[in-house]
Amino acid sequence: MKTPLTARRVAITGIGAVSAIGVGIARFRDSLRACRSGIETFAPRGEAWPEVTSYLAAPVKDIGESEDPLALDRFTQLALVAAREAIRDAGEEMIRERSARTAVVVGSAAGGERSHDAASHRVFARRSAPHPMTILRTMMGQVSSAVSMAHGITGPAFTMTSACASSAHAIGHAFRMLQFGMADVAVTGGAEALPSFAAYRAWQLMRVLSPDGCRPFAADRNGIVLGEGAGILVLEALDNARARGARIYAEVVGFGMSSDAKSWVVPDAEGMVRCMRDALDDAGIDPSAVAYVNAHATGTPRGDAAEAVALACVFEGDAARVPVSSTKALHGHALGASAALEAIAAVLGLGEEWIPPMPATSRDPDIALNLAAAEVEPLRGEFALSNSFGFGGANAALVLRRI
Amino acid sequence: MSGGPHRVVITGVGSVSSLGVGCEAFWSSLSEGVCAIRPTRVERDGLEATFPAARVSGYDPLQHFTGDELLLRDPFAQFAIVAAREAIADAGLGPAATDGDPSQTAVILGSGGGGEHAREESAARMFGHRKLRFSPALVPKTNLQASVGFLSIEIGATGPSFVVSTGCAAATHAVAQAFLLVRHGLVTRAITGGSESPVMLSILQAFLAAQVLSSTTCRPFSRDRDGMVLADGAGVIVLETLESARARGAHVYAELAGVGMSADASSAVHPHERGPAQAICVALKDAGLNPADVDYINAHGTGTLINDRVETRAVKDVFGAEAQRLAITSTKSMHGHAFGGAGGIELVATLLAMKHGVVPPTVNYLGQDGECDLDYVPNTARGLDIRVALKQSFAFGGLNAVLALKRDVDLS
Repeated sequence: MKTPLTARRVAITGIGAVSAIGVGIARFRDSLRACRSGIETFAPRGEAWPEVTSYLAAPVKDIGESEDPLALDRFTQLALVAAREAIRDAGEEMIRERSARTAVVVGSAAGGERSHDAASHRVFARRSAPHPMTILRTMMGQVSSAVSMAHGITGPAFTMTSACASSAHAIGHAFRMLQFGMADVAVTGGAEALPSFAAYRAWQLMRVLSPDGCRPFAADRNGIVLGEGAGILVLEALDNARARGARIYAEVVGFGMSSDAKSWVVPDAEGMVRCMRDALDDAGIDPSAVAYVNAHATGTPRGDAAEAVALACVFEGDAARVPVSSTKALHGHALGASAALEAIAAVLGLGEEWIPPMPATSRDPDIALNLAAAEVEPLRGEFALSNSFGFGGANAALVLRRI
Repeated sequence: MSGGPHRVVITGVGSVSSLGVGCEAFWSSLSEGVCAIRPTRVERDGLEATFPAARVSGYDPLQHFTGDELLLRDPFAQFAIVAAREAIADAGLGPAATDGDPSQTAVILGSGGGGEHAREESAARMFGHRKLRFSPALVPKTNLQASVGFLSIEIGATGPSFVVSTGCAAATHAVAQAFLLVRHGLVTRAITGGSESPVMLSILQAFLAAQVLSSTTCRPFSRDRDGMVLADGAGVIVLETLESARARGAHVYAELAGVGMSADASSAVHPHERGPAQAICVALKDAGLNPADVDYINAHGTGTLINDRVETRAVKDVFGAEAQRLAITSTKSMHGHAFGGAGGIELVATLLAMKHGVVPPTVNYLGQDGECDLDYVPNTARGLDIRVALKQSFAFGGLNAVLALKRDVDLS
């Protein structure tokens, strides 16, 4: 899709991150640059966790479980921390002045799943009434509502969900809203908490969890490692940002979406190709202009193979040149928050001219990509592509440009 | 597609609700003021309760899906797909809905809770009986985006697909996002609306704990109203550019001329009229309409004491003296509150009202309540030439969305 020329340009003027590799952009950046993984053996607790279990995950360590009986679900708490950082970064005053023209568009895949479990535990195990806060805690919309309330934002606010691509869809849609004047500022991104017991069991049954690590594109990759966190970006009409002399991290220049419309579980390279091409066309650039790809690559045998095929197809002869990494190897797969964390990694790398690294692994002979090294290397060029492909075949890709 | 903005029209409608499967049954009940709310028994794992609710009537899943398909499709996804099939056929698009390039069709639906039946069933096994083995089908079944995922697979639409989730306003928010994509030429058409299936034990208990459910029936804006009533259902429409509708010679229900969205940013549970009023103003402005142009408002009207009062205040704030002239109804009084599906069901009701020139009533109305003193078209449908209508949805947490519809579209 080619965007009409009347569309406004959109800048990123604030970022906030909460992840297994650090709470706050400073720590997130340090861990990315040091190629430090936040993956560990994690033992969830709580009465709605009926079996003693520990599994490999990427938990957020510095934000504990809230003891506040009136607190919202953990995914919303994580979002609030990241949103506060991003909004302060962009300027609280700027947002206050534009509160009715500011949108809140947050993505999440599972939302208040743990609050669902807690309520179900009370109903079916303890045979008592669920907590009066259950409706608010289990609502997907709570995250957007809570961010709007915390910052007095009164423009459009809603939550988007498309599994693992949720926050890419949210950021891309917020970008469109700004391009076409439905808002002047957007607080956007995604949030996800580690799974409830029920969701964890379901992931296990699907046989997609790795027992020993997330190794995107590696020969011995064997599954995903679930993570949690939140990534929030403040998007702003470029003219506004320039007029007020704001720090501009990057410009969002392209967004592509597609649906595989094929299978619920089997990833489809064709759908990924359409989505990437759509995003590059939207940005009006040739694949050869791309200096870095933050891949969706979750570490599953089939998903990564399909993405490698799709990248080879989009980049053709250039596929062996363009540096590719999947930062999920470090922050795990935070589902609905992943795309936002990865877009922030790409924004940081693009702005500061370094390629987000990835731990060294065994090379898959069938994957002919230029995978990033474990050490920071220079990023040469002005455009980055960030891919997100959701379960069920919902795809989204963002193109970012250094300003 | 490029250029733009495009004018956006609605060319197909489909609904599944407690008033019946399909728009014919739906409209005949709406226009006759039939209330589908019944004492409904919900049961799970030895726990049970009987409460006023509105389940889909006359629905046999096996008439619409194979046994294998039902293993993966929870009722909210089934309802969305059945309503979408009707809307697509109504738009004259044939089963593929894509009319040429499949990448030009988006699928954008609202849902508040996703596959709640599968979730409750597995939770009862897990927490009630410590049975920790269950089917991997649980993931696609409970997933919120199952409705758009299975629908895009069924119709072969390869354009954008995602779910918008804002509780009670989800379908209306979904339509607003689809509108953005079609208006600006990012796709030619969108299948949009929403669905929900919340009539079950655990959800009933959660709403009881929040003290917002009626113990009698749904009486929006009426004295003695005492809360909302849970309902199942889906409402789906086909949106497309005016050029596309013209080129196909399609029947046009109305132009979706503008949308307005806002957040109250005040309290999670106590709505404030400022947010809804802002959304109404933005929708009118976006559509190039004045308050004096509006003939009919299909209200959010949940039937809770505070919601209906706040919605009335918001309408008065925006419309001033014009508010007394408006026909305002809540069709939830007939089909109940299907949360993430409600906005879709009520949008279809609004479009059918415009088509037939009849305002569906607010039933169960017992008489005026203090601050709620507008014309809610009590108990009996009324003939009215509806050129312009608004569909309003205001969710818990203060997430608001309003759609502005114009009936008369020059197709020449």
